[in-house]
Amino acid sequence: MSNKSCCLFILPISIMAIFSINACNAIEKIPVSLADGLTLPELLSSNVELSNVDELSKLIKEPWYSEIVVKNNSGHKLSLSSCEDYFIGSSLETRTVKQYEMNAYLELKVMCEASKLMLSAKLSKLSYLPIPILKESSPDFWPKQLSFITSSAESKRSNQNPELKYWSDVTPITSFKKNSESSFTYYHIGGYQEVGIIGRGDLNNDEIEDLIVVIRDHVSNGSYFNMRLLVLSVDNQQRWSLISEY
Amino acid sequence: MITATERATLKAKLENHEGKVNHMYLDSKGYVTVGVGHLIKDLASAQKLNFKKTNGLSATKDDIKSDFESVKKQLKNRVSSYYKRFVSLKLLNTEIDALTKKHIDSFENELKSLFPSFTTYPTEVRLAFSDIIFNVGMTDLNTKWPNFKKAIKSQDWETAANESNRKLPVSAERNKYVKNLLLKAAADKKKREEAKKMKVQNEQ
Repeated sequence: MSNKSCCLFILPISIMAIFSINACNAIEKIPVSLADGLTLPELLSSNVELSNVDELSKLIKEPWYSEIVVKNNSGHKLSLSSCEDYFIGSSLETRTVKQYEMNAYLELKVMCEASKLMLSAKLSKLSYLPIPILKESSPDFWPKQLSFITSSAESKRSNQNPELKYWSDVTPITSFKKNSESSFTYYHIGGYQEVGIIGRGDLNNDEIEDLIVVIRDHVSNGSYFNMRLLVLSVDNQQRWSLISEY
Repeated sequence: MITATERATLKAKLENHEGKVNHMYLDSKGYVTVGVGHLIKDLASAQKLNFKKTNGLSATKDDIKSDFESVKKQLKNRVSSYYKRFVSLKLLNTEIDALTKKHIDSFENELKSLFPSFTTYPTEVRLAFSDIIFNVGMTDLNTKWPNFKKAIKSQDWETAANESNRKLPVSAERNKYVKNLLLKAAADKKKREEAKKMKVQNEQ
């Protein structure tokens, strides 16, 4: 066979092979997906429809429904009015100048962080996430970092206690309410926790689908409120672990 | 009984932490709220409050219903000023202060039922304790703070100070305020005990 005829034969096969590999990947890979828990569009000054993850990059630049004045550790004050402002000007120590605006700030902060996280999520090859993800028994399997403790000293003790493994070991759940497939409320003595699914995607580069959730911690008869963003992973043995917390 | 000075300090602290809002808004739980974090549990409770119209006249039950329902259907946990556009009624400062007084009274009664010696504690302890209770609530404190509770009951203010820290997002400043109050109570107690010991030694 001449060189020319060889190329004529091999090239189409190579192209076909490349296409078939890509097609295989396209079928195998699980796309990053959003759920109802991501409420950034509702927090913006104008109504914005969100149909896919990529559109989040635009929302990050959109103005919030209200600006919030914050101060950094140094006492330096600045006004934030979009996620973009937040990413540039905020740190872990940033607090609102008006203490009573902290809860509203947390709502904006967590949703900005969630959007950034979703934009960084990658396609997954495998998923061990159960169907449905949220259920009555979730606190019996999810890691103890999801538990709700307002005291720093008690929280430290709980973290150091190896016998406490799961969320319900630390915060025994007394009842629950299913708000939707992606939102449950778990009640305990002294308060309740609202868990919402933000989305799914690979966030630790192991090609296994991870879960991004938001938790709103409430106390009964008190003003304490916290909002946390967590990335969870589950393996083929249905063992859940915490990858990161924001 | 909380003294007038303690009451004034608590009121100022509450206004700083909760804000003082003269119109209805939604809190982080989605409850309609007014004043200094005063929760309005239902429409009937809202209609018992003396809301005023912009012209200064008292609002009717229908006016209050309109504001209450308008706020109720909004999204929760936004800055309180956001809800201003959905309401037309206001609560006077005197009314807000009266609600705050009732709020402090009810917390004091709860504290006394859980800690019968509460009224005998030093001012600093009463202020520190009240700050925590307003924040985390009586049930959380009673069930999830065993070491702090034990320290308070045994009047070990130093241990109570070390157990008083609340987790984020409670500010370091607020935690420090409470801790310092308890540490001052511990130092005062120590001074009193030493003075008593000295007196006994001198008498011998």
